[in-house]
Formats: sequence, structure tokens, C-alpha cells
Amino acid sequence: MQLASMGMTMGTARDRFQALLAQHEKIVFKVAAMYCRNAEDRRDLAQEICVQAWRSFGSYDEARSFSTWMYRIALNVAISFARSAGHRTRHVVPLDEDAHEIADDSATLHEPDERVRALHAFIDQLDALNRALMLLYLEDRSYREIAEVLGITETNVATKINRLKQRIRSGISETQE
Amino acid sequence: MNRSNAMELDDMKAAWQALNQRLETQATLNLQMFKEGKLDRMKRGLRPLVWGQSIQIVIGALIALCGGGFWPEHLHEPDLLIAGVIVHLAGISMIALGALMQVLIARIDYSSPVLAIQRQLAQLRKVYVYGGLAVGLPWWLLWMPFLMVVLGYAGVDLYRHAPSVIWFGSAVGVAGLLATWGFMRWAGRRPRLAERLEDHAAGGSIRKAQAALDEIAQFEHE
Repeated sequence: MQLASMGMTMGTARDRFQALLAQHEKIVFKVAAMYCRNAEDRRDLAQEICVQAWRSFGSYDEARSFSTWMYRIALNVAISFARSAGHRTRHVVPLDEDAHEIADDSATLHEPDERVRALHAFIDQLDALNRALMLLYLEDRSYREIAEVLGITETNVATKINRLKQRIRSGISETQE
Repeated sequence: MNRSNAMELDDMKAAWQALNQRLETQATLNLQMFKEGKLDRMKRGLRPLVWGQSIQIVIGALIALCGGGFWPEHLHEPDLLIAGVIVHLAGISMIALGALMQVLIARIDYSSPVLAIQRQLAQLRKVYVYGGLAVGLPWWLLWMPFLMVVLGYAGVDLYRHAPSVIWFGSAVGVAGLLATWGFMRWAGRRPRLAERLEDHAAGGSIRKAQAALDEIAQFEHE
């Protein structure tokens, strides 16, 4: 049942939203990380996702998965954010910012740093929609949930993920050869 | 190549997890801001498009009232009658386009599937740009009937007193329309220029919206 039709007061709805958001805030961070390298952009995007989620919360159906609902909102906002001209420059420039943060933190993280670089290099090759698919794949979401989030069939998801795997393999081969 | 492909895929997932663990500490603090009740205030900052359309509707209503109140009083003066009707229709068109945009914006539900919403947003952008052109470009010519109506309220029939203003204005208006059309075509064929004008020129926005639609179609069918 949708929250709006349950007669929830604004205060109750806000409390409920904050509780659900706290439980699923990782989705916000991960989507922001997938679409933004720059820390300032990530903060802006996380903020926009939360605001849009709150705006849409009145139509949220408690009987359905909150994570699927949240992924849809977060990805829709992130894709629009990435496509907006104002953020494009900052979005693409500092490719290795996070990798440097990790490398600076500890010398023992050299190996993960390489992996992060490879991951970033691959992600940067993807368009906005394939980034969404890649995120859901990396998060080990089921084909069914990926299909629900993106709005394509499960068969289509399977085909695209196989292609993505092939691209990952060839992408990593290129970076390591 | 030193490692197997299967291992590399696992590496990528491990890298993703490592990256996100580091980001979470930082992001938790950011989300705290929302928990302090700032959501409602920020919500208003995301509605410039809705405000813009609301302003268009108000201006359209004023223009429609101006034209609609004028032409019934001049049924036997063809030039003023035509000018009044044109201004009335221009106002109604502005209201209709503004209302259409408001409806399209209100229908966007970000919790719908990604492809559906991205397609809807790209189409909205196209409607917005073409609607803006449909409302804005005719003013190359519309200023004349509008001026006739304004002066008509003051008891001056511009066409009878200075018909050359209308004919000269028409020539300038047609030239302006053609020049705008030519510029848009010219800019659309120059990606660098179109990119620079992207936020301001309609040609760039349409190209961007179309590129997004093409990307969605490719994603669906590849």
C-alpha cells in the first residue's frame, strides 16, 4: 500500500523515510561513486538522490522492495546528473582521485589500488546506462531485480551481462598486457 | 596477462567493495545533513523548470487577456480585429504549452524503471526546447500585432497611421526568423560550437536529447 494512501502524517512519513534511507544509504553512496570521481560531485549527487527519493516517497509502496525503489531513483537521478552539462567537466577529469586517496592511506593497499584503477578505467568507458547495469552486476543483484530496476526483460539482462563480462575481460587484458 | 579472467572478474568486484567501504565513512556524514530536516527546503531548489513554466503561464494569461479583451471591441476594424485575435491566440498558446510542460513534469516518477524515465526525460527536454522555440520565435513577428493592440487601447490605430512600421517590421521579422533557422542549422553541423552553446542554444539541447534517446534505443537493442 502506498504511504500517501495510508494517511501518514508528514512527520511520520519523514521518520519512516529517514529510517529506510539509513538502512539503504549504501545504495546512494555506491551509485554516486559509480557516476562521479570527484568528491564534491559525489556529495552533490548523493544530495540530489536523497531529495528526489523524499519527493517520491509518498508514492512508495511498502509491499515492494525498498532497495529496488531506491536503485531506480538513485540511478535515474545519477544518469540525469551525469548528462547535465554543468557537471560533465568535473565528472570526467579527475580519473584517479579515489585511487590516490587509497594509495596515500597505506602502502599495503598497492594491489587494491591497481584493481581500483582498472575498475575506473573500465567504468569510464561505459555509457550512463551500461554503468547502471555494471553497478547492479557488481552489487550481485539478481537478474530479476536488475530487470525491474532498468525496465528490461531478464533475458535481456542476461545477454547484456554476458557482453559486459566479455568487455571486462577484454578491457582488463588491454590494461594489463 | 598474468592472471585468469575469472580471477580478474573477482578482482573487479573486490575493488568495488574496497572502494565503497572507503566512501561510506565520508558519505555517512553527508547524509546526516538530510536527517536534520533540510530536505523540504532543498526540494524547492530543484524546481526552476516548473517555476519557468508557471511564469510563462502567467505571462500568457496576461497576453491572452490583453488580446481577448481587445478584438471583440473592434469587430468592424479588420486590422485591429486581426491583431487582437493573433495576440489572444499567442497568449493561449503560451498557456497551453506551459500547462503541457507542467503536466509532463508532474508525470515523471523517478521511481519508475530507469529506461522508461530516461526516455521520458529526453522527450521532455525535446518538448521543452521545441515548445520554447514555438513560443519565442513567433515574437519576431508577434511584436507588431501586440504593439497594435497596446496602442489600440490608447486609441491609436498603428496600421492606419503608420503602415510602413508594419511592413518594415514584417520584413525584419521574416529576415530574423530565417537567420535564426539558418544559424541553428549551421550550429547543429558544428559539434564544438554546438557543445559550447549547449546550455543556451536550442540546437545543442535537441542534439543532446536525441543523443540520449539514441543511447537508450541502442541499450535496448544491442
